[in-house]
Amino acid sequence: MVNRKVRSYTKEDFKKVVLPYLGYLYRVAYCLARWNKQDTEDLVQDTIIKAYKSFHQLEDRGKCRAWLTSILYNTFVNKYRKEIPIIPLEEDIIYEEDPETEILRGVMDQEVSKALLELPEEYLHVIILSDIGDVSYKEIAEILGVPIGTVRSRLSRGRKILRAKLHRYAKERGYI
Amino acid sequence: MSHEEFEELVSAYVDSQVTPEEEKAILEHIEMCARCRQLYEQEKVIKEKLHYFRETIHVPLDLDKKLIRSLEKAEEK
Repeated sequence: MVNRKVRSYTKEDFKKVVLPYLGYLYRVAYCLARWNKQDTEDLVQDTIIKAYKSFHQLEDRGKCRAWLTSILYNTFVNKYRKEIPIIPLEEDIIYEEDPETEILRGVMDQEVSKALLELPEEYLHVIILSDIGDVSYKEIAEILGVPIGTVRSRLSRGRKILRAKLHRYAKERGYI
Repeated sequence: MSHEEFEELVSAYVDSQVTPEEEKAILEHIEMCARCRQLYEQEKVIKEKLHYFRETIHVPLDLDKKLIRSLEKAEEK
C-alpha cells in the first residue's frame, strides 16, 4: 500500500516534469529515425518508459532535457539505428564556395530534408542534436562520448557540406 | 586569425559556443575580411533553415495520451 502511494506520486511527478518535453523528443527522434514515423513513435515510447524507470536517478531536474536526450540517443543507437547505404561524399563539394547568400535564403524545406538525409551519420547526428535539439556542445560531447573539439569540428564540416549541397540544389532547380 | 581558423570557429560562434577570447578574435577578423563575413552570414542562414525545417515536423496531437497509456501498460508488467 505504502509502495503504491510512493509510486503513484512519482508517476504524476514524472508526467509533470517529462511530458512538456514530448514535442522536443519527437522532433529529435524523427530526425534520428530518418523521417520514419513509426520508428519515431516507438523510439519516443521506449525512451519515456526507460526514463520513467530511472526517474529517481535524475538529480537535477534543470537538466531533464539533456538527460532525456541522452536516453533517447542511446536507445536509438542500441535498437533503432539501421544500416543505411552510405552515399559517397563528393569530396569536391566541400571545396565549393558560393558567394551568393541569397541563393541559400531561397532553399526550400524539402531541400534541407534531402540534404540532411545525404549527410554521413557522424555529421548528421551532431547537427540533429545541435540544431534540432538545441543541445549545448558540452552536452553533445557527453551524449556521444567524444571530446568537445570533435563536436566542434564535426558541426563545422557538417554544416559546410550542407551549405554546399543546398547551393547546388538551388542552382539545379534554376534559382538563378 | 586565418580563414581556415575562422571556418573552423564560425559554427561555434553562430551557436554562441566560443570563449570570450575566441569571440574577440572572430570579431576582429570579420571586420577586415569580406569573405569570412559572407561565410558568417551563410552560416546563420543555414542555422535558420534548420530551425524552419524543425518547425515542419508535426508532432501527433495524441502523442501524450498514447505515451501515458504505454506507461500504464509497462507498469502493469
